[in-house]
Amino acid sequence: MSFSGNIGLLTEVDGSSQVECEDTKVICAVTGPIEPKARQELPTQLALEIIVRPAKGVPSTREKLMEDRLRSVITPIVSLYQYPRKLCQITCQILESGESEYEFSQKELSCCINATLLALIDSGLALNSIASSVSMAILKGSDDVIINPTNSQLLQSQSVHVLALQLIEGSRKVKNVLFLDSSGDFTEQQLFNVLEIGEKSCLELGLTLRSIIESKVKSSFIS
Amino acid sequence: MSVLVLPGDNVEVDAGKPVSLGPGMYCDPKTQMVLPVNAGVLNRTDNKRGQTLYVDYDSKRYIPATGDFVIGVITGAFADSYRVSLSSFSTPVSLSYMAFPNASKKNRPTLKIGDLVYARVCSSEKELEAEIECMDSTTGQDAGFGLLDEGMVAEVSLGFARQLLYNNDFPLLKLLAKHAQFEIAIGLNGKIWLKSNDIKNTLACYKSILDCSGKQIGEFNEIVKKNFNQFTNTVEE
Amino acid sequence: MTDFETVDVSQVSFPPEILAKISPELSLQRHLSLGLRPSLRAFEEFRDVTISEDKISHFSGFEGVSESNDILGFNVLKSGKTIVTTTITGGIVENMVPIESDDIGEQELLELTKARDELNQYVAVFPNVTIEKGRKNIPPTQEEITLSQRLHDNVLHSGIIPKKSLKVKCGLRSIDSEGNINIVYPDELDDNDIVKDTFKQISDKRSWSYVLYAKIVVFGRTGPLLPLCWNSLICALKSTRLPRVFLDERAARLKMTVRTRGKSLTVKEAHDLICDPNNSLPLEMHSYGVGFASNFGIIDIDPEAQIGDEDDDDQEMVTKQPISVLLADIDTEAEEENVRSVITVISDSEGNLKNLNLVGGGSKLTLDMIKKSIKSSKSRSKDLSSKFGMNK
Repeated sequence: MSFSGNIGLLTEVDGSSQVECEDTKVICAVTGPIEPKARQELPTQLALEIIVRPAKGVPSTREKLMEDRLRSVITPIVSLYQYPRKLCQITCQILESGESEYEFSQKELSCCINATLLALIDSGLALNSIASSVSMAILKGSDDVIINPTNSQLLQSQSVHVLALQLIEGSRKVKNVLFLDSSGDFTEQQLFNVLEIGEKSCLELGLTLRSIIESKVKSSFIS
Repeated sequence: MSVLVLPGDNVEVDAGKPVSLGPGMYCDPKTQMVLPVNAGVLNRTDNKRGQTLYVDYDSKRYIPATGDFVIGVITGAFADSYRVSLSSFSTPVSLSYMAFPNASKKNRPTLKIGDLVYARVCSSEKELEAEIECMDSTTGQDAGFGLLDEGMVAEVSLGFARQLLYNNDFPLLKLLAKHAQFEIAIGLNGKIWLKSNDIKNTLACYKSILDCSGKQIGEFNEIVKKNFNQFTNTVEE
Repeated sequence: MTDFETVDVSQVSFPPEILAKISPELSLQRHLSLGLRPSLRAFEEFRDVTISEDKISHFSGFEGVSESNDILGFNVLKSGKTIVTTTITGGIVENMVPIESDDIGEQELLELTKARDELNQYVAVFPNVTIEKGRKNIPPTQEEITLSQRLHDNVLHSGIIPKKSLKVKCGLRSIDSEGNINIVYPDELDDNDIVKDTFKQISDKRSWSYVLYAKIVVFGRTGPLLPLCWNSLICALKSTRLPRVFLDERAARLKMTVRTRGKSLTVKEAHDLICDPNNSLPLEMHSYGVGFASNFGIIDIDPEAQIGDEDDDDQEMVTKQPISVLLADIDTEAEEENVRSVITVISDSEGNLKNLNLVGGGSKLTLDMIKKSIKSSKSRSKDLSSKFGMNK
């Protein structure tokens, strides 16, 4: 699994990150807590404004759905009640989609989740835990689960999955399933395989994310 | 010993002793679990009276905390207070006309929109608008706050500003002082105000501060020298 | 001694409706502790669903239907207080690539890409969900947009509609010497029919496909809508009939050369497709792919909020662990707002899963809970498909 992450590359925002996983590349910027517009303001908690921009063209309903899904992953991990009446803007720009955009959004979504997590850490916004996400596919006529499939694997797949897990205790324990979306044609047993194998690689990825964060934290401390 | 923590990591807390939590730590009101909420270095002090825990982390967005020294820009004036911006796009804070030394109803401060002030955060409830003051409110005396006239402002990360202000062993200011005479005000909101008798020196100091943020201490001397050479020589030649 | 003023402190109690408004979470917890939900359903009880038998489709043969409507499929679904109407309309587009081409190389290339792309064999419908709130001309909300996109993605990924079932099998209208109008379709012909060559000619040059649009209007929204919209969409697609399409015979001759005063002009005839007003075919769906949707919520019962019996105060001392329960078919604002762990399943009656969406913002999603909801969705799907007559 090829995964690389880079933190703090943008200077004019509070937190930023770039994540590359297989052929998919996403850059994410976080600004906040800032003053919200009147209609965004929530009296007791932080409001999140999440924007996903596609690799080419203008945002469509497809990106709106990705925003909605990203929000459902991010909401439980941000400590929202520490910032009442504030706003946090999260923008994900997809640089390379790495998949057939009309049919799939799995790889982009999982990359956006990982990029957002790193950018949130960089921004210093209070989080309850960290999270990691992988995309998966099961090829036609096989039961093997492929982690972070390539586009041609996606095209040959029988079912595709995105999994995001909430990790605690040194990224060694799974607290909850934040998000799972499985589409295609699959059985209950295949689903549990996906969960099991996905959990393993999410934990692995969690440790990778952790080492990326740790090296950033170390470099920011003057010794 | 420094321990790196990430949000959601386990932190041992002695339940028998009173605990004070600083920045980066949070006690979930529902589960009563004490957890770090930021990625950084965990600092722990234990003494007879109890334990204190906080996470030291670097960030860019300033969130007002009581007692912090800050530099703000006046962005508005109301009947009894100024509106002050501590960082771009953040919720503005208020600076009361009465929070100046020798203030009275007759004697109003004379700050204008666009002026820079050095002040201290005196109230910072997360649900309310934060307030800052330009005097020592316990004594009512002047405490070195107020208008910052002329000069230049450098914007750095919050961690770097804290180092400059609180770390007495931090060599940057001493290095700068070797080369030039200057006035400096350090705001914990990541703004550093500088003024020198000569514009060349101001620029050299400004550039040095920006260049040194994010660098190791060992490199500081080199950076400062290079900048002063560059700025003072170009004019003299 | 000095007399103290005594103040009577009495407990304020609210009627259930008011408590539900001012503290929906507490109200929900109180209901749950009694083994009920605010809607008075049991935990794993679904709402009843009815679909309307009356049809307004152009091809349904229903007498009240105006001859001039352009609706191909239709469904009204009622569940609780919510009514979902789905109307399927369609259009015809010309395909970019000739499907049955003489060019063998190209044909091979097509086969190759087809083998590589599983999803390319299927098409989606284009849904447009509107949730009526009594306001006109407002831009679609986030919910409407995401619902439409999810329905679209699910139709595509479930593989319900094979691409070939939307291919237009274009007929031909001819007028014989006696002035009788006669329409023939390629699939109704014998092998040795002479007209077959004409069809061959047409299909070599051009090909067309139907495109289906689904307009879904929701009245009286009370909870999450995906299951209702999906089920309604499936029923509407089941009832969809595609009109037969024909070309005029004269138009089938693609080119004619006109000579006037020594100058030659080539007139290209436009292919005006005409939809047959009386003739239609049912939309062929992959019956294997058809599943029904249901959703489930998981919430912890808060022991603090329980309405305990006054008598057993002694036993109350034992600290109770919160128990998490599965709620089927989430409805009402109280449930939607406070149940943050939601499972949405689309499965057929055999238990083959088509889509499964987990959002775990609240209580822990355990494997047991997922198993339980899949099992429940399977029986629900069986229920619905027998009810809606999908087993035919």
